[in-house]
Amino acid sequence: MYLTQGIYDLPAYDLENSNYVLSFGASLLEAGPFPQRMVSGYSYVRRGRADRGKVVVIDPRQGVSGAKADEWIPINPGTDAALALGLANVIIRAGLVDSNFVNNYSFGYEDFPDGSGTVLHKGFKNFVLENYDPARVEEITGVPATTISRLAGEFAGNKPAVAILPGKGGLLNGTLGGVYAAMAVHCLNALVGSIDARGGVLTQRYPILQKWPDLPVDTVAQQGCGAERIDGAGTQFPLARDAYQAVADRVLAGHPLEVLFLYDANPVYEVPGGARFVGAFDKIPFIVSFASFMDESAQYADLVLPEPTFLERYEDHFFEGLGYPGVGLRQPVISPRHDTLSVGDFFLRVAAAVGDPVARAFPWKTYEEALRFRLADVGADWQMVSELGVWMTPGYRFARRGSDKWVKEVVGRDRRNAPRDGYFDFYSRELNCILGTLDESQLSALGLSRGDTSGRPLPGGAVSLPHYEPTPYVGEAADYPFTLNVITLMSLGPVSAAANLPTLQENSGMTVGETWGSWLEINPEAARELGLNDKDEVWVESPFGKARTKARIVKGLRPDVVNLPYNQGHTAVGRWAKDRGVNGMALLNPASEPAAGLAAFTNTRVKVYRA
Amino acid sequence: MRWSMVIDLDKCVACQGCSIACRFENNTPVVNPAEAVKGRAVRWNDVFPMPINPTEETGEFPNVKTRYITRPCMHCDNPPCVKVCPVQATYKDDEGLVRQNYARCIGCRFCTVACPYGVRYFNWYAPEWEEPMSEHLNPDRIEGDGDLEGPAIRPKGVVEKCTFCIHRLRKARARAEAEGRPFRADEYVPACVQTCTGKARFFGDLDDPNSTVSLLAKSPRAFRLLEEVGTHPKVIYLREG
Repeated sequence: MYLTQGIYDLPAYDLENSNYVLSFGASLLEAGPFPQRMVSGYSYVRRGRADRGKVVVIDPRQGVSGAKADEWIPINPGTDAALALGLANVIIRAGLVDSNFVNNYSFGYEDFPDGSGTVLHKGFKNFVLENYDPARVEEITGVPATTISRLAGEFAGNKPAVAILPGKGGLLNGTLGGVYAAMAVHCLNALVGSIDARGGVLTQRYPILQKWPDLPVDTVAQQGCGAERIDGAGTQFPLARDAYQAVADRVLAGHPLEVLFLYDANPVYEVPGGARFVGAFDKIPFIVSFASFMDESAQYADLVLPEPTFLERYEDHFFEGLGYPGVGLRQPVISPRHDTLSVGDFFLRVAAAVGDPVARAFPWKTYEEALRFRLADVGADWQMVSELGVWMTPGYRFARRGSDKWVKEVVGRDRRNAPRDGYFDFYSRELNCILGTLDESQLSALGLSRGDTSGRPLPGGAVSLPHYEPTPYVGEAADYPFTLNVITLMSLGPVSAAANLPTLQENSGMTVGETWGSWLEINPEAARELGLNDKDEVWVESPFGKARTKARIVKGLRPDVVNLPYNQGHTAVGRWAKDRGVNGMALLNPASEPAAGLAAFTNTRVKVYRA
Repeated sequence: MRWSMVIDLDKCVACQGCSIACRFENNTPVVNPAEAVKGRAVRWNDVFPMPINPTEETGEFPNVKTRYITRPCMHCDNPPCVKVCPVQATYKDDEGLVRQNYARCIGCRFCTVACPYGVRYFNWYAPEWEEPMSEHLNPDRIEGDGDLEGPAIRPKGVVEKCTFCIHRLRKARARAEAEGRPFRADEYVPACVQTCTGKARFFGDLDDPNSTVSLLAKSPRAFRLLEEVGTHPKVIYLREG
């Protein structure tokens, strides 16, 4: 959404008014970034209104989302960009694009010629028409050409339609190819006119907040703001705004770091190859963790300042995924049970102890006061907001295409380099600003190239256009026949602390009848070829490590993919989480993708054999 | 009044919110992991794939049909469990709830075997809550006069099952009485109905022809589980699609 629409947020989808929901990735109804909102929207699509909407899920794994969908498309892992562009190809050829949108409110749809008519740069339209015909896309994705044409017709012919990325995990994200895939999927929405439209993509709006006071920057701050980020975002990783897991590699490579605060982060456990953080921690003189539970990373901290749990503290939560603005005010429902301080309160006290000018910049005595300051203009007084626990302006107001509101809030709002002119970028000017000046060798150091992936000469290159990049897998297919998919369950979720809840452990494996441990999901044909029966003990081994667990035969899964549920295999966190199951993250490729600093969740191949 | 639940499987996403809410509302003990493997986990509300094990009907890759169902106690109008209980620890009350009195139960488990839906669970061991887990227990209970029901902590050796959150019904009735007004059927819902993320569960009085459950029961999508065995279950499902 950022590189095309210029909005640095997860997209919000108006599911309630969609007639056709095309979900890339199977976490639509599972543990995504805002599961309640997606489930609620889904159930409205089905039964909350007179006409029942259609849902299609595209993922190598069926999961719960694929099971509830009208159609499950078991795509070849890592090829979603090709499918999205294949659909775009059919939509364009069939004349089903929203021409008002593409002709008047987009950039880069048509070719850019120079004065004499030579094409300097292919536009999205001709690029897609020339490279993503259904036959070629069928070869790449394994989805039959007839299915591609049918889905394209259904998508463009049943408006309002929306193509969604659930935004978390699965085999879609995690390499730069994943970024291009996300762009391609988002472009599908633009093609059919679903940007800031009923039943389409919404831009998350925010309530009016009181501005933080303008303060003079002192020398320490000036130095800090000018310094290179420890995670290399913006420098080593030119496309990144943050690259959390790269902190370990850069510290190990010699970048100095004196103090590390761990807030809501358990990198030793939750990052691919997280064990290398232990080595990195050795080089950091002072580590503070705010973990509420002694997790794998907090164990290495010099100081653990546990934050009170969500029931014991103040916090603000801005609405996500709904479009209309709102803020939830989390308040203590009981006073903190132990001697704990919320992180906000902690930093306010530190600021006061440091003294001026830092103390002057944080004039609030408590975090509650700071929140009260910030929410002063939200539209209701503090007493009202506190009583209700939330304040919102329900009712999303669509912007008229090209209006001031459109330019300010809908398209281009967060662009840093490309102009904020309200044009939707089929050709990403933001990417062009960052990568366009690099020569071929610099690009290839980032794992990119100007040509398209079949080596066809491409005027201007494909680097700023959404396109299919084959996944750079680690592990040769001959030795490691399966792609490893570490899946987040609705039961255990992504947060380490949940693994320490006995009730969740007992309900963790609903789909396969498992409890209190890990399992590896494998397709029946694949299992047969390996001589494996359901519930056999197996080793699952990647080039980075191996783990022993139980094989479970699952029909709703491609034969070349295996699934390992996340959030087991802890060695800390608590007595019920500890020493139970295996941690899939330890098997995944620890490298950061070179251009955008993405952690590699999707490009590890594994082999499976009887234990 | 005849209490009934309608569950719309087209809105259910098998998230298990219902199961978790039920467990905390009703003080369901977590069994030892070794017991869970034997199938002894207590699941008043259970969410599972239908059928549990893949069969020919569930298809072959890539045409695999997987369905999930969520299942509380059916509170049958013709309950087989009541028929076999030798001590009348389980009985159907005058509002259609199939009750379970822990004080009378002798743990013979005839009811558990008789129930074709598998909604009944036996306490093979005394339920345990390690500190500090015991601090989240719901203090509600139905007690008195040889009676012990609902969320009350169960002793070893008794059978337990979904009560349609009868303690909530009692509280709602008591509140209406205290306020000097008649009790209305829509004043109480079980915890699973309240929690359901997809708003797939409905609850109310089947004897009221205008209640939501009565109207939904007439839907062409409506069906009940194992209708052919004659139990007359009062949980009505609306099929997907």
